Amino acid sequence: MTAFVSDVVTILHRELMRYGRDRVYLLGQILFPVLAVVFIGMPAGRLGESVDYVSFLASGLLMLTVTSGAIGGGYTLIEDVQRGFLRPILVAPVSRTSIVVGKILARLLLSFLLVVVMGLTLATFTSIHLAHPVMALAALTALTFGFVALGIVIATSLRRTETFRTVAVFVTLPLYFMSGMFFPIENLPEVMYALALLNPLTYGVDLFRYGTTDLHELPLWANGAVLLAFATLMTALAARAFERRLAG
Amino acid sequence: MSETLAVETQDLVKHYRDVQALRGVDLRIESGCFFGLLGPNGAGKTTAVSILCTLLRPSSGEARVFGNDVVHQRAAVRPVLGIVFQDPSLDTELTGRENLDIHARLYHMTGRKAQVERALERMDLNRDADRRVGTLSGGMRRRLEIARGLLHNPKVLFLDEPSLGLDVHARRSLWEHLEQLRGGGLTLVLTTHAMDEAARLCDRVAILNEGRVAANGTPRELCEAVGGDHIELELDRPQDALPLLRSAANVRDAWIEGRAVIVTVQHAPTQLVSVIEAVKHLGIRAVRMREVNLEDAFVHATGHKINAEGNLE
Repeated sequence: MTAFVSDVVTILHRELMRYGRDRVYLLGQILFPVLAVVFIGMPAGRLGESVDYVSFLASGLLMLTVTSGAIGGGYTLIEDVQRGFLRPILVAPVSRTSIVVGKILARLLLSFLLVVVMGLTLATFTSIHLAHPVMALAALTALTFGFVALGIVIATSLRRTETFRTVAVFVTLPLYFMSGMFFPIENLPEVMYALALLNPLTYGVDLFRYGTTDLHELPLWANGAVLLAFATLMTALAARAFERRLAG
Repeated sequence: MSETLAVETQDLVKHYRDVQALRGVDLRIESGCFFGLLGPNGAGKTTAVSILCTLLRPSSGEARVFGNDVVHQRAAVRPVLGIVFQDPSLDTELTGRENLDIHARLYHMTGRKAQVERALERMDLNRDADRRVGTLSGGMRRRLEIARGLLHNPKVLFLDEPSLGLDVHARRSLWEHLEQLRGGGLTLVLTTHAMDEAARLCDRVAILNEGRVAANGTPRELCEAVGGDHIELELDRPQDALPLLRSAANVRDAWIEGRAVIVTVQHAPTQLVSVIEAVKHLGIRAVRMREVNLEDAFVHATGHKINAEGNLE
């Protein structure tokens, strides 16, 4: 058990060193949602005064950053396999699970740090705040697990991993647009509303928004249940896909 | 099976969907030996190494590393082996020292810092240890991989085509560094298609061809199996020399090729003089000597030649 924890920490450490080297990437991750809120949210907020749209969008965009980053994080696992970096680790007396767990935890820690930095920045000109910290953290954690796993599943299923970015966009764009990230799902046409309810991201965004703005559209118990199921199922699928990839 | 053998395989077979990579390989590698798996591309060398390193399961047969089965006792096998893969496997975003540090952590080593330092020193990499691996030369990267492979003090180090892609200078430097590991009790198993590499580094060589061991022994034994070195004597009347040479001591065989007599002896450098003595009164115009090398041994064992790229001719 102590060996497992130590291995997870080692992998985590390595991931964070790598992320730390890529300053441009980190800056881009932070800048995008902030700029999007400024240039989309602020003008749009002037359209109507009934809702605080700027804050609504800000919380949604934070989850956009978290999930798109997490998908990329899952991809790096397969990239490691391809670049050969994982082979010496596989020969070492290290369990496969600790590799995946280390990867996910590194991404989780990074997501958390990014959200804190972006959140503090956004809080200076929107009304987002830590209304329910536990709920916000739960949403962040579940979505990170689910989307890192989704990234792994997509990457392992591709014959040519170079196509990952393109395929990931095709998979995630519909998820993003029908998730309530950019506008309330109750404003969606009936069919799209139904699709949004089938989208696990909807529940994550809603729970995170509750955590940071006190607003939510769906019952909290539903958010919790769907997210737990989503994160667990995706992680299991990813573990299986990873094992298969290693075997093949 | 004996506990003292570093590597022992029995009838090792591996087939992928439609390819027979190994067709029954028997190997016995003694502890402390520098052992070469010599063969062309596609002979099954990498497959054999992958199985021995627990990365691949054999289709049938058995393989043991220091007495432990590579399938059923993986946990016991992994800590005692080190490996340098054919393809690069370093994290190019991190520095050399960071790469080694991660490795040391994964092997739960104590006194990591000092051990990493020692490993870097052994491969002459101290000065460049804080450079990003992506900026290092091919030869340095290969040495860094070896430093990493040796870091946890394995009992056996596998090197898969260690000099592939290196220039002449880097190759020689690599060999010198590997040479220095001899005598420390380490067992070295290297795969190569380069005859000079096997001849230079290996105490024993197994010639692998089409998934089978075609020949096995010390480089000297393999060469001797070919029939001996060649001495070529150019003479005015070769037919007169032939009976004299055939009856001379040490001469195994003699025949005429054009204006020359080809003589085979066990070891040309020490037997050249006596051969010349036997026929010098007939007037020798020129003498050429060719020692049998592993290349001849390979041709002898498999009936094929390997070219510089490692493919069969």
